[in-house]
Amino acid sequence: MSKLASITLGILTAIGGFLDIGELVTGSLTGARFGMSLAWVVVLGVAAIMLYADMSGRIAAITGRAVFDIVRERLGPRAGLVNLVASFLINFLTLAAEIGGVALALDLASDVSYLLWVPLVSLLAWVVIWRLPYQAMERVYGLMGLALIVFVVALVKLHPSWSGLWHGASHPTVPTGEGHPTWFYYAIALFGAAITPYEVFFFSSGAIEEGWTRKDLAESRANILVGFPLGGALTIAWMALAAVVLQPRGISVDHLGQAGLPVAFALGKVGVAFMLVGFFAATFGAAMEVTLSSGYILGQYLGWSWGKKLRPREAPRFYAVCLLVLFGATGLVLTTIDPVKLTEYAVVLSAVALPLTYFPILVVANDRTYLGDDVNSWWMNLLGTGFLVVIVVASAAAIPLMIATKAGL
Amino acid sequence: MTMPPTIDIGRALLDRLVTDVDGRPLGRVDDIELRTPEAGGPPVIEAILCGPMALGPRLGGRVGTWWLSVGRRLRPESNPEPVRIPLALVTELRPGEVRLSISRDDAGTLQLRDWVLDKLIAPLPGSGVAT
Amino acid sequence: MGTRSVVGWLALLVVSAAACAGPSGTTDDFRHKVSRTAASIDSDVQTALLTAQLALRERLALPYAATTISQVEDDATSAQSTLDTRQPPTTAAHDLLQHADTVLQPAISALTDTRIALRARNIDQLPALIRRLQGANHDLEQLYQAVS
Repeated sequence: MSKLASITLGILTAIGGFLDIGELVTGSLTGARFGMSLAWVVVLGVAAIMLYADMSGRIAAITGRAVFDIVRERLGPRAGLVNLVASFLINFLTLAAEIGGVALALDLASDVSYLLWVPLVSLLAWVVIWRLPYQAMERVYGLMGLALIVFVVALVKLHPSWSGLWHGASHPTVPTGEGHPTWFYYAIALFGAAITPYEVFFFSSGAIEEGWTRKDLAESRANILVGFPLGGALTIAWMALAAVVLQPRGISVDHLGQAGLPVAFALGKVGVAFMLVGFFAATFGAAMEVTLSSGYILGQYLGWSWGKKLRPREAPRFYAVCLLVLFGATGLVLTTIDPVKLTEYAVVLSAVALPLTYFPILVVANDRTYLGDDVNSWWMNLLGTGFLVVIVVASAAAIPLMIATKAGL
Repeated sequence: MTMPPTIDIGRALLDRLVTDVDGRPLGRVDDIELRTPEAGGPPVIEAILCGPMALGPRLGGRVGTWWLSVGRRLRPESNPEPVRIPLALVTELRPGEVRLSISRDDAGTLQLRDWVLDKLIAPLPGSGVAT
Repeated sequence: MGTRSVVGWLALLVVSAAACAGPSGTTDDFRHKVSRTAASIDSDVQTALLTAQLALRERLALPYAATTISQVEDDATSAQSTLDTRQPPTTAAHDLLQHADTVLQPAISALTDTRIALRARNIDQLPALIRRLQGANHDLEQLYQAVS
């Protein structure tokens, strides 16, 4: 494969793989409730994950070491363990939410209860993790996820008032009837959805799985610089669809089916078919990434052999953790807990836990003993410090806001 | 832990990944064993210690106790001691990595791995393990 | 900071989620609850309305439409029963609840009938159901205006 083709494929995969249940739920929910007034959070979140992914990808490519390898070494066993437990719990909730999301997409396509789909989805996820090669897995679901470009097509087809949307996004004000705490609570949820911890665990461990070296950094940067913003643009289009079609009708989004109505409104059954394929790919791909991430971080903390590149008998503990986590999360969804509510909690808790992994990465990205001359440049540190402030404030405010607003009521 | 004279060496070793002669991971430096020379002078590092029996005390508190009890389960044979790897077996200190001169199968840190492999992974279809 | 505090946070979270169902004190509080219930059921009715219109114009496949309406029907039913389990604190609140039920009940049965028609693929019933949903929407909005 030529270099250009490989880069293009990587970018397309990054776009398709960018969205998951977190963006699908929070993007539409906030659009229906707050119009475009929270679009700036998506932009901020995408910028933050770009820097975070670049730093952890660079550390992985140059030192061959993934996030939790670094966390254990820099924070020691105690703080590292707190970090591990928090990340693991959030991963667990996120996985249940993603599995629920896949099942809900299948429910919408079939009118067969999502609870019946859940075991099948988990079984399929297990088979893919167990048998499908790493790159094939990533590419198949990333490329299928590109079907979500239907969001942009639908928005264009609706002929919205672009200047109105832009005005709403560029002059963010809290809509009448909504309180500031609720608005900020959902801002944090959107932010947490854009930078869910598993994405970085997966990105950094995946770089090691694919054997990246310094030579691959240019390609990785292309994925990040082009793929992530385009993924963010899909999220904003998704939000705009809700703002244009659902908000004027007073529809608040509590279900994935409601979120998809604007696509049906604009494009009819074909558009919905694309959307459902995209839902499936985005949430199923994410479910596998979260599952693998759980094995990655535990294996890294404890010094196991880990990785999907290794066969089950070469990394039995890694595969066992993946299996058990998948099993447990399946059980959680089968308790009939609402996957959409679960998603909301998972993304907010992601924001709470973010400083725990972001901070060590920012420190190591400046450490010459690890990176030599590839440490952060001054402007990266300027951005990185700015994001650190945002991340710490969001993390500290999340739980008080959750209590004050009764989780966004 | 307070060991003022050796803290730097401890930092250079503690929590690093331990790899065997072929570069395969076999655990982390969960603790180190020190010996104070009879003639006096600063303590010297004797060995690196691996496994839950070494990590438990460093975690401390209830979590540490729990970790220790997991360790005891894994080593029912007799001595609930940490796995001890003499410093002489260390061939190389890389950033974040401690390389040994032995194979990991001889290091004695893989009880959990072997147990998981036998009980959980091998019986699954397509595991690639001949049963 | 240890695992215990993580567990503590999670426990707090569960408690705060459960705290959504508080007791209602005054008529004003009760009025506020009625208005919230009306708004939430109106969102469900609007969802069903849009869904039914799209299904009628063949822009939405019936399984999708049926699933979506069945979900909002569940939400509306549970919103109404949550309201009904509250003890109205005053006579005025009691009257308000009785009036609210005369609006909420037809809205929910319109949702139920729409769901049944979609599951049975009775497309020709949809125009009448859409009119009922529009009526329910109208009444809910009036109720909402009256209590807020």
